[in-house]
Formats: sequence, structure tokens, C-alpha cells
Amino acid sequence: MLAAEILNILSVSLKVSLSATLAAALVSVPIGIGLGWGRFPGRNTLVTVLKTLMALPTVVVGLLLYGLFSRLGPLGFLKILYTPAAMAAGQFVLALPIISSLTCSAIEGLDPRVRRTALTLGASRFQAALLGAREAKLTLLAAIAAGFGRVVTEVGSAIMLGGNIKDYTRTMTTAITLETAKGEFELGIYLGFILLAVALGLNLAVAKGLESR
Amino acid sequence: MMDDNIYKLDRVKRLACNRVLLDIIGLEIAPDRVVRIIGDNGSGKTTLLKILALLDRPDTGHVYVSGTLVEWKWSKLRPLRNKITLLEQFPFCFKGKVIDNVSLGARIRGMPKKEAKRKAISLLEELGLHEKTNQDAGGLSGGELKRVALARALLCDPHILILDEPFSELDEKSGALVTGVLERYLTTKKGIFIYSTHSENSYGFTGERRIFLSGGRLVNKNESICLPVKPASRPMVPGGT
Repeated sequence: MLAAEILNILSVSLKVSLSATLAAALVSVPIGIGLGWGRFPGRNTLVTVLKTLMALPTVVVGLLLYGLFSRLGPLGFLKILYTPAAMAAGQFVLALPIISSLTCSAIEGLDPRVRRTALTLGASRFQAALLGAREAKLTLLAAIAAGFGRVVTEVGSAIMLGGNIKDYTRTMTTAITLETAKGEFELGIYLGFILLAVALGLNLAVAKGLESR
Repeated sequence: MMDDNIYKLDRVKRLACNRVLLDIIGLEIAPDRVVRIIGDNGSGKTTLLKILALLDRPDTGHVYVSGTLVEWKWSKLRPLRNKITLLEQFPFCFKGKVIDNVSLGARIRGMPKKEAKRKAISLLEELGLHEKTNQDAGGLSGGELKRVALARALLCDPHILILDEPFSELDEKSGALVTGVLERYLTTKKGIFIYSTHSENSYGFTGERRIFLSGGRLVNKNESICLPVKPASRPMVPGGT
């Protein structure tokens, strides 16, 4: 396998997983804050469901979205099956419960005076949420990093929705699966280490960015 | 219903873990300049103040603010809350500089950033915290934190200022500074000032109306609301009655 091919695979992996994580974070963090501070009927059930969905099997997500995106499926008109967009959609579904649930726990664990102080200073619900998110910034970033860790290493939905097409939807994990099936264990392990190194680099960059603030 | 009372509590009860924190059959707080709530530790002062600040909802009963029944719905609460600011007994400061914390409430309430910062600096000077202006709020002592939070509450310019044990954790010098700032607040603003202390023999203001609490219930209510009330208040000497 050429270095250029590995770089391309790495690029697809990062583009798909980072976009899916970012999109999931934009939706999940407000959900998590709402659940963390909100008190409404069914709230506990919703939290339990989200925690359960953290263990959602990747192949199940792949299967469900395959049904949606296949030509005869309800979203077949989008024609995104076997594209990076379909893979990102699968990873979005996987990251959503993880980031929401961990954000909810982070917000619940905040000092209750954070919310009271924000409200007594006249904050709107949105402003109070922003202040809460700022106080829990480190934990929220850890939640997003956990979501990224989950999706960048998943293989089930990536293969089912992306199809492992060379130079298009082949990611690090699907490439490892392919090389292992071909008996190229050494290359598979090599790719695995590259994936770990990338994850480490991203985590270090986030930590460095936080330190400098 | 409309009446002259700034607050009216009707059969208000607050429970926690099957324990009665507050049980008030009826309480009316007239728009006097200073109202003081006195009670021992665990008497329900903080619970009452949080309810008055609309930050805690009673389990039963009704709360009226300026004759308006509090409905405890977000959309209805915010306009009422914007008239009130609570300084907690152990206040919280957000991550960041002291100046940003002090100006936060005013900025949330629409004051331009520059004006909020200028006023924040002035208040910090009055409270003897000029040197702490650009310091991280996380490094403040308990007394400094209290004064910073007081400056933040005052800068919100609320109609009703509620202070939970404002003089606790303050040494004599800081207590005098706080009293001075509150006195200026009372003479220059038209707002109402409700505060709590656990002792009658601590800092106080002449003409203040007193409400006594014990075990979550009002004590000697008639006597407490018959104290003379003067239009302008003057603080008593620290340590005096």
C-alpha cells in the first residue's frame, strides 16, 4: 500500500469522523444541557434511553440507515448510500447518545449555584446554558472527544453505508478489516497504530488549546 | 389581584427529604426600604430568600410579587426575576477575571460592555477590591468573593436586592465597606433591600422591618411587622443593634 493511499484513507477517516462528531456535538450538547438542568415528565426515562443507546451496535446503525438510504428506502431519493455522507450520518447517530449523555452528566455534576447565579443575574435560558457550558468546558470537551473516539474507530456502519470503496469511502478501520481479510496482518497493525497516533495528536491539540486559554 | 405588598406568601411550604424546610401560612412584605429576616441556622432563611428570588419553587402554596401570582413558568418567571437579584450566602463566581464577573449581570441585562466595566471598576474600588480587578476570580478569599458578588448584584440595579447573610465571612473593615456601599445604594436607589442575619445583634439598618423565623415558621409575626419604618435608612454601627 502506497503512502499516498494511506494518506487518502486517513483523510477520508478524519473528514467523515470529524464532521459527524461536530454535527453530533452541535445537537447533543444542547440536548445534554437541557436534560441536565431540565425537570420535566419523562426526563429520567429519556436519560436512561440515551445511556442505553451509548452501547448501540454499529452494525445495527448501519443496517437501519442502509434501509433508509437504499434506493427503495424512504430517504433513497437522497442517493447518498456508499458515499462519505452516508458514513457521516451513521457516525452522527453513534456519537449523539454518547455526547448527549456525557454532557447531561457533566451539567448535573455542576455546582447548583451556577444555574441559580446565572438566573438571578437575569440570564435567559440560552444564556444560562452558555454559562453552564463554559463552566463545564473541560468535561464537555472530554464528552466530544469520547464521541470522536467512538466514531473514528467504528467499522460496522462505515462498511455497510460506505462500502469500503477505494479512494472514496475507505477509512482506516475499513482498510484494516480489508487488509486483515487478505492476510496482511502487519499492514493492518501498522494502520491501527497510525489511527491511534492521529487520535492522540487530536487529543493533545485540544489539551494544548485549553491550556493556552 | 393587585395590592401594595411587594411580596405575599400564601400557605407556602417547602420540603426536602420529608423534612419541612419552610412552612409559612401567610406573609406579607410591604414595600419598605429594608426588610431583615432573622433566624438561627436551619430556620429556613435561605429557603425563604431563594423563594423570594424566584429561584426555588415551593412544594405547595402561592407566591405573589407586586400583586402578580407567580406561575413558575419560564416565560412568566424571567420578567419577574429581572426585578430581583439574590446574593447567596456562599456566592458563586464564574471562571474568569473579577471584572468580567462583576460586569456580567449588567451586561446580561443590556448595559453596554464599556459602561458595565467602568461601573464595575468603580464599585470594586468602593468595596476595597481595586487591586483584584484583573485577577482570576478563582483565587479570591471567602470575604473577597462575597464583596465581588455584592458588586455584581448591585451593578444589576435590581428593584429588589436580596442578600443572604451579607456580613458573614467579613472582617470589621470589610463589613464597614459593605455597609457603606449598601447605605449609598439605599440613599441613591429606590429599590427594596431584603437581607438575612442569624443574629439580631449584628450589622443592621435603622428603620428596618424585621421578620423572625424559627424551624421554618414565622415567629412573633405581629411584633416584627409593627416596627417603625422610615423612608430613608441609615446603617447602624457594626456590632450594634
